[in-house]
This record gives sequence, C-alpha cells and structure tokens, in this order.
Amino acid sequence: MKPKEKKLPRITPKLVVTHVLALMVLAVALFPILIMVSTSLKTQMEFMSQRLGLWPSTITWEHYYDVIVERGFLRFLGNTASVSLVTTILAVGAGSMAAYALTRFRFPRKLDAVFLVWALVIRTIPPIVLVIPLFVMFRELGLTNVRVILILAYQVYTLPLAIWMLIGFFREIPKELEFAAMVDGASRFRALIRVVYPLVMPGLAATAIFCIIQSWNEFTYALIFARVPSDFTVPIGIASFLTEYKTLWGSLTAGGLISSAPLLLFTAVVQRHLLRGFGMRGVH
Amino acid sequence: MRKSLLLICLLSLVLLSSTAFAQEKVNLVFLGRDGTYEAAMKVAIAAYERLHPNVDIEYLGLPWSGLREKITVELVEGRGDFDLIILDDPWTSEFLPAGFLENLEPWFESTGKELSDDFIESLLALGRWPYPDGSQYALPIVGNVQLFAYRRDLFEAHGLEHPPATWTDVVAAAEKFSDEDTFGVVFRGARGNDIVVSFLPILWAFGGDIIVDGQSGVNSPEFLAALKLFLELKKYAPGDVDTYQAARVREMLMSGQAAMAVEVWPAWVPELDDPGVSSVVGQFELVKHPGEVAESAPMLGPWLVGINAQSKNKAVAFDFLTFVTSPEIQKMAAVEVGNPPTLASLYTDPLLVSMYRWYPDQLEALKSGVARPRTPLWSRVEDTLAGYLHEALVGIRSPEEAMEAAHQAISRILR
Amino acid sequence: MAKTMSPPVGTAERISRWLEKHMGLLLLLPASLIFLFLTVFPLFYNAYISFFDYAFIQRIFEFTGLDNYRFLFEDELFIGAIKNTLRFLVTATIAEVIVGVAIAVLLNARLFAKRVVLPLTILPMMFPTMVVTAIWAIIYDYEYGFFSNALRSLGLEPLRWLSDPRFAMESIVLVDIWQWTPFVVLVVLAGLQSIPDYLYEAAQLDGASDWHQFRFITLPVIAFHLQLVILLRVIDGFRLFDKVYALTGGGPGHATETITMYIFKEGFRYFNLGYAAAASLVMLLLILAVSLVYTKRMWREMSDEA
Repeated sequence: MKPKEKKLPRITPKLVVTHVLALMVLAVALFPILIMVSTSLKTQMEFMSQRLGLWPSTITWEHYYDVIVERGFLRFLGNTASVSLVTTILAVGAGSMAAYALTRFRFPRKLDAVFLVWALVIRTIPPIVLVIPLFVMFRELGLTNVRVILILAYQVYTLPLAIWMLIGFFREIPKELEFAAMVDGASRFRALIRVVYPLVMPGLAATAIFCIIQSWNEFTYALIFARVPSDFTVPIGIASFLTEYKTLWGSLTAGGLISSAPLLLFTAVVQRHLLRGFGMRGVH
Repeated sequence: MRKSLLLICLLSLVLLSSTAFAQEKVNLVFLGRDGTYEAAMKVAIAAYERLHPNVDIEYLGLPWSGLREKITVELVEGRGDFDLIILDDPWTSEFLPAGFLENLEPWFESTGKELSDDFIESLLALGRWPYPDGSQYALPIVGNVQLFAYRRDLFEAHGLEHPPATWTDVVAAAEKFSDEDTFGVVFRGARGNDIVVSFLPILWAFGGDIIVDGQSGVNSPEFLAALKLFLELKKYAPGDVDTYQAARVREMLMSGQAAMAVEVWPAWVPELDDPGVSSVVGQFELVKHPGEVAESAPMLGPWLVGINAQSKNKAVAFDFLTFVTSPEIQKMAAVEVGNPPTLASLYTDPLLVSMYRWYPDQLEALKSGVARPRTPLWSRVEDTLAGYLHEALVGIRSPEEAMEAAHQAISRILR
Repeated sequence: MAKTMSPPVGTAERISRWLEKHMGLLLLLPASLIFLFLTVFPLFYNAYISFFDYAFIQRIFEFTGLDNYRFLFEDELFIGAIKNTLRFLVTATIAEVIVGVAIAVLLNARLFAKRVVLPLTILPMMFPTMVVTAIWAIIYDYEYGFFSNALRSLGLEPLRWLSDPRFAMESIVLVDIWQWTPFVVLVVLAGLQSIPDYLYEAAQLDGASDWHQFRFITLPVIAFHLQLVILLRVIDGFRLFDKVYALTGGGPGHATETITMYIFKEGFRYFNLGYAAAASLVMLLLILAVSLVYTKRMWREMSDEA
C-alpha cells in the first residue's frame, strides 16, 4: 500500500531558530570530539606538525589496530562493561526501591532524613581517602575477585546519586495514582509495576546513564584493586597511553573513542524514555 | 600372579613419572611499569622462563599515574602478593628505612654470587640504605640520567663553540637561535615535579642546593643567581612553557621547533633519530649538562628493582633479580627496546654505541650524576618548591620573594 | 478478585500484612545494607584517624588531638584551596545550569532527528577525563592552540589560558562546562517529560508567549530538579581534581589548587593519612553547610507532599 505520508511542518521562524541553535550546540559539543577523531586517524608525525588540522592528509588505522589488537582493549572493554552494568543495575535497583520508599512512606525517628544525609555525605569523600580503608576491609574479608570488589566499591558513589536523583522523579508522580489502582483491587506491588514504573522511566533512564558512565570511567579504585593484567579496565588502558614522557596521541584518542562507543550505544537504547513523542506522556 | 606383577610395574611407573613432575612450579609476580620498561622486563622474563621452565613470572605493568600509589598500598597493606617491585630512586628514602624490601646482601652471601663491580657506582648507591654505603636493598635496572640536548647544526651555523660550557653560554645561544619558526630553548616548566627537575641542574651548576646539612639551603645567593638565569631562559622558550611537561618538550624537539632542551631523558631520545617521527634526525647532540660556577651536575633518576620483604619466593626472586641485571640481559634489553643499562661496560660496547650514539656521553653523565636529596620528606619539599618556582616563572612573585617564600615553607617542613 | 484459600489461612495473611506494614523499611533495606557494609567502616575509620599523626609508610600512629585541624586552618594553602574551589564551583554551576536548561528545552521542542541529536549532545560526558583534558590542552596551547590562533587571526594577542592566574581557573571551568552540562541537560530533560503537551497547547491558544510558557508551566515543574542538579553539581565541584591535575597541576603557582588536590597530595603523595582525613572531614562539613540550605528546603517540600 501507499507508504505513510510524512507531513512537512510549517517553516516558522521559531523552527528555524530552534534548528540553528541546535546546530550551534552540536558544533560546540562535537568540536573537541572531531579533533579526537582526526587525531586518531593521523600519523604521529603529522599530528606533531598539525595538531589541530581537522582533516588528516593520510588516514591511518594503525592506532586503532594498536589499541584493539596489540593492547587487547577488547578485554578491558569486557571487564569494564561487566562491572559497570552490574554496578548500574545494583545502584538503580536498590536506589529506586529506596527512593520510592522515601517518597511514599513515613519513617520513625527521622530515619529517612538520616539516610538521605548519609547518602549525600558519602558521596562527598574523595575516592583516594576511602581507598585504603576499603582495601584493608576487602583484604580482611578475603575478597579477591576484583570485579566484585569494584562493583561494591562503586556503589559508594553511584548509589547515593541514584537515590537522590530518583527521589526527584518519584516525587512528581502523584500518590493518588497508586491509590486509585489499589482501590481497583491491585496490590501495592502491582500498582508499582503498572502505574508508577512507566511514569518514572525517564528518571530511571537518566540515572542509569549517569551511573554507567561514572563506573565506566573510574580509574583510582580500578588501579589500586587490580591484581593481574587481566583485571585491567578501560581507564587503566587509556592511562597507559599517557606515559611519563610521551603521549601516544593516536592511541589515546582512538582508545577514548572506542571507550565511549558502548556508552553512546547505551544512551541510544534508553533515550526513547527521554524524548517527547515516545511512550507515555504524563497524566491524562 | 602375572597380573599383580603387571599392576606393580604400572604403579611404580606412574609413581616414578609423577616424581619427575613433582618439581615445584614457582609463581613470581612482578609489579612494574608499563611501556618500554614493560617491554624490557618481558624480554628478561621470556629468557628466564626458557632457562627455568618451572618458574612462571607474571608481570603487572602499571601506568605512570597511580604507579607509586599502588606500590605503596601493596607494600604497606598487601600480603606479599608481589615478589618483585620496581622503584623510582626518590622512593627509596621512604621504603628502604621502613623495611619493606628484602636486604640483598645475605642472599649474595648464601648463593655465592658476586655483586658486579661493573655497576655504575652512583646508581648502585641509590639502592642502599643508609645512603650511600649501607646495605644493598635494590639493584638499578634503568640507567636514567638527565642529559642536555642541543642542535649541533645550529651551533655550527652561528659559529658557536659546542657543546656550550656554561649556562650563560646557553642563554646567549638561545637568543641567537630564536626566530620565527624556532624557539631557542624549551624545558619542562609545568607546576610540579617538572619545573623542579628542570631547575636542579642549573641550581647545582651554580653551586647551590635545596637541602644543606638538613636545613633549607634555598635562601642563598647561588639559588637567586640560578633562578634569575632560569627566568632568562624563559624569554627564548614558548609562551606557555610553564605548562610544558615531558611529552610536549619532546614533541617540540622532534618537530624541530626548539633548538635546545634544558634536560632530556635517555628514554625519550632514541626517537630523535627515527625518521618515522622526527624531523631532526641526527642533528641533536646529547651531552652532560653545562656547568657554571661548579661542575656539571646532571640529575640521576634510575629505576631499581627490589624484593618484597613479605614475598614467599625470595630465593627465586633473587635469582631472577641477578639474572635481569646481568650483562647479557641488559644488553639484550638495550638492543631490543632501548632500555639504558646500568653496567658501565655496556656504554662503550660497539654495538650499543652504533645504535645509540650518545652512550659515551651518557656514561659520563651517569658517573658525575647527582642524586636528589635522600630524605623521606622529598615529595613534600619538591612539591612546595615547585609551587614557588612556578610563581617566579609565571611572574606572580619576583625571584627574591619566591625564594624567600620557598625558604620559609621548606624550613617549616624540615623542622 | 477471588481470594485463594491457603491453609493455614492465618500465616500467609499475617506475613502479607506484615510485609505491607513494613514495606517502607523493607524497600529501604538493600540500599541500607550496602551503605552499612561499605561506608560505615571507612567513614568512621577516616574520622578516627583524623585525630592522629598517621604516617602510612613509616607506620607512625600517634594521637595528636585537634592538631591536624589546627594546622589546616593555619595553612594558607588550604585556605587558598578552599577559595579556589568556591571560585570554581560558583561559576561552573551557574553556567552549567543556565546552558543546560536551555539545551534541555531545545531538545524538548520540535526538532529534527532528535534521536541523533540527543546522544551527540551528551557525548562530552562519556569520555574519560584523561582524554578530555588531553584534547583541551591542545586547544588551550598558547603557541598553536585553537583559541590562540583565533585571536591572532583577529589581530589580537593570544592569552595564556592556563598560565595566567587571572583566568586559569576559568579556563578549567570552561572544560567542566563542556564536559558536564550534559548532566544538567539529561536531568532537566527527564523532568520535562512529565509535562503533558496539552498544557502548552492550551497556553498557546490563550496567547501566552514562549517565555510565559516557560516561566509558568515549565519552570515550576522542573524547579525541584534544578535544585537537585545544583546540589549535585556543587558537591561534584568540591571534588574537582582530575582536570586541574592534568591541565595546570595546581598552577600557575597555587592559583588552581583545589581542596581535593590538597587532600590528594597529603593523602596519596605524602601518605600523611591522618592529616588528609582531617582535611576531607573539613571539606565534608563545608559541603554540608552549603547544601544544608538546599536539603532543608527540598526536605520540607517533600514532607509537604507526603
């Protein structure tokens, strides 16, 4: 049959301005990234004479080869991906439960205030200050699986973030909705799944993106807790391109781009909850 | 009867063969640096494992940022998970007195091995505690020392004598070389270890020092003179040389944009002659530093390897340590990876000199090299000094004010 | 709707009712357990050692009472670090919030290829800071960098972006804006999704201008999110370290040394752990003081809704 006809929107000045602004934003956001891309494709020698030239005179894939094949970046990606995903699932899972509880229930003796302040306080301590007590603690507990250690250690920073962010999102969903569903006979749990969950998806999506980015790029703990080369994560791999006296620009930028690609993919997948025109849109 | 005999034969065969395999597998773990250091160590490890098939050495090559922190945490709180550990020479004043490394001398005695006298003494001394003639705790494996780099062709073109004998000559030459496309001189001026390390050879050449008899030696005319010359050099350097770290300096040299470098390290240097990355192949000379009032004083910066006092495989670790520092292995590492040796004879070895033409100069620099002050407070002193040096370099304080402020701060630290 | 009979009736019912009654606490349990296990010991350990002279490598551990805290406030570098940090976070937070809200509103409007524009807009946030600072160092290079070249082509003198104490910190702020505005964008954008279209349509029919629509429909809804974002960016601002370390090393002189950098040096370079612990506690108290205003207001808002 006839394909769906697309209606062209009217060209208003507002539309033009919107798109021009959007292009400007993209230009600013992407300019340094374009430098990254072109650097990753230039030979070292060309880079040294023409650092900001956007188009390499000869395109070379040697840096990508170096990063992926010679440095075994795929292995790092595997480690980082597994740690970040589990960290995020744990943080968002526990965090959303806590945020929901804090916005829906009353707690005795200001327990909720204490909990929230604690969450905030924890996040303010720089990782370097906590690394030694954590190192000692894990050692005493006999925990040696580096991935498990990292997933747990990362909770210190991602869980508070998840809780604080999700409180804001749960808060704006009126309680009447759940009560209405429960009056209709659904259990609280059902109400949660059917009614609340879809409405909080944008918040969950944004929180998930932050948590995964944060754990993906974490360096200090990943380094201090590593035992063998197969424990290395992507940030450690990238740090190896910044040696004491030499910056391997091609590999550094190639590595940086390869590192961000899965994160970009993740965003592309969850972004449907963040853009108008997809899924549910508020209360009717 | 026959059957049971057969069974006994089979059983004894199995038992015999299992004793053959009963040779213990030893697992060593080496905590080291990545990059060329890793490549060099891997060469040694491969050779050792071929000779000793029952030894398995695992190498953890860490990046520069975080290396010291990881090593410290492992030494202090670790449980002997790492047998061999690499050290930068300033760290010895902290780790050695604390007893984290194994004293090597009893091991030399019990195994009958000799501590080779081919080791360059100035480097070997850095692995001893108390410095410089106590017991040996670590052996040097990377013969790092600062060198001075200059463009021979430019000196000749301007009819100047080379190598420049004093820093004043360097300033004069820098002025002549500066033109539209070239900077007369370049150095590591970034806030931190960089600026201190660039300043020290000049300070020492003027006869000054940071710590004199356990007190701050900053408040001295020698220091002021050295600082003023340092600021003179800035005039002929790139405008933001005060953010320059090693990588940037190296790039400026290799692309021909800078004619001299106050200090370079042997590790950077092989690529200056590599046509694949350098525009100035064969044009640089690397020598020991100019003097001024006092003799040339290049700064030493070797890397050493020691055995973790908590290691469970000290005997094998010691055997590997002596193997890795042996002449054959050091030569192999130099040839294959460019790792500077720590044995004097290798610096005049014909093959190595043909590959690395500055080796004889490097040997001179190593022999007359000066080490940074051996105090556990060095990190703090260095960083404090860096802050005030940088203020002088950028112009926030005058040289006199900077010197006074640094002197106050360092005196407080040393108290 | 039919109830299933489960013998014995009492137990299942009782369990279910018990769960229902304590659901709040139960939901809070996983996060609480994680906090308990991972954060209580390190935090109290930290507070404890702040009263000691603890040299990690030399294994010195001596009680010194409040000495560490006294030294902190006598150290002009620590005071300077606090000032630098505040200077950073005020500028960065204000800029990021304004720009972030603007971009979020932009992305919420009628826009072509949103599914492509959104990920690209938040791409800066995804790179490891090491790579980001390396690229910005090139852009800021005095001799050959982008800004310098741009100024020269206009016939002006280039500025020493990272070496001039007057604006070295602001140069770092710019990098932070580039990297973290996407954070604000995402949070605000997520918040904007809960505003139904018909509100805007009705307002439009009533003749309300864009600005009015923003002020009276959009802003009240995202107000809470904005406060949250400000709170989180302020806290993260206190933790500024990586960028400074990579771009200026704390220079020129001491002009960009931040509190976290100070703590890093004391704790991780000199391994003077007791002193570093004290500094981190002071920072914590500072953050609490700054955020108390916000948390109180947010809390009151939340309790009103309950």
